[in-house]
Amino acid sequence: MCEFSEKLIAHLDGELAAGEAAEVERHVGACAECCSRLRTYERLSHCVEAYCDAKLDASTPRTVMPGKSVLLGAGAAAVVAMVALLVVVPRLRDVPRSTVIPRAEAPAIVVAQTAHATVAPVKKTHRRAAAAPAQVRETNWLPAEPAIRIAIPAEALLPPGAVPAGVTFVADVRIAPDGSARQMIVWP
Amino acid sequence: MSGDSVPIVLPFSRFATDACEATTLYRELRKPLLRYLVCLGLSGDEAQDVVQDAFLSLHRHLSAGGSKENIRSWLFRVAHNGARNRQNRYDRRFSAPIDPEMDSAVDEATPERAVLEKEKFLRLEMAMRQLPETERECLLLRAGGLRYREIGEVLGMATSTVGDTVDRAIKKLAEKCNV
Repeated sequence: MCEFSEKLIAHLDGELAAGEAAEVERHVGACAECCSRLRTYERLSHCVEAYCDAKLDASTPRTVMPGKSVLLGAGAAAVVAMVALLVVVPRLRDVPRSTVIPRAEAPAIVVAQTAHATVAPVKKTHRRAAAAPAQVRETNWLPAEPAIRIAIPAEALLPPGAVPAGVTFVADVRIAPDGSARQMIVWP
Repeated sequence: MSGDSVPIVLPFSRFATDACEATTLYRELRKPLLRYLVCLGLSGDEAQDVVQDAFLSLHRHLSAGGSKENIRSWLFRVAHNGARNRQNRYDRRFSAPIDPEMDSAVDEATPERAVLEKEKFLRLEMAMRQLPETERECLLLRAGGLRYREIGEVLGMATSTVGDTVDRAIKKLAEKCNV
């Protein structure tokens, strides 16, 4: 085997410095063995990639995630929701409590409610808000800490077809006294 | 909220970079992971489940302060092991009949070209089945965009061994598929 075979692999992976890469390219131009190896590799790579794509396309797409999978999906959604919160929470620190952020300022996420244990409930704009207090009492949240509820459309979090149409995730975020986000609860 | 909904409680700490990283990785690697798992022999639904499990593991890993080094190969390794655990009947996958749904995946402009493409894929599928498991996995991981070093991390092999293995597999496929 040609002494450049090891470098050829590194070259294919784009891990060589510019000088070494140029050296390998010059060598490939002059070495029939390496040239043939590289061309075969490239042709086969394209075939295998096309084959893998065809296999994936042929696999049945999932339309509805049942049972456990919904929870797993919610978990994946939670990861994305956290990113969304990073955008929303800093803005909320500058906004008076019980204020609804206009859609124009937060196009992807609607802040539905700002709740506090000692404050009279405000009008709730999300249909799930009425059932929320029972769930909240079952958790270990500190009641003195304010919560912010956000509604996140499933299609903003998960790929198309991952959950049934119209599903919305709701997340309650506990805000620590220093204004930082302390805890989040997500419901599908 | 429906009565049987189960809330997921997440502690808030170090979320900023971890969540961004997990989201970026999800967008970048979800499809390559699915493709790899389907080619290993999992059904579409099984592959979806394994990928979701892998990303949940990633979230736990990052939340627990796990290393972010070589995170691509880490994810592929978790998915690879998940597939193996899911099918202790791994062999049955590649001894199963050739996938008739490959027909629907070949969507070429003319019927003649479609037939040629289908024949090419069937030859490739036959040749892939005859490869030793390690060679097949190396090829599929390579098709998934992993570098030789990363493939070595997923499969627990030295980089040079990965190179030799991919070389052997390509030579065999080239002979059998006349590529």
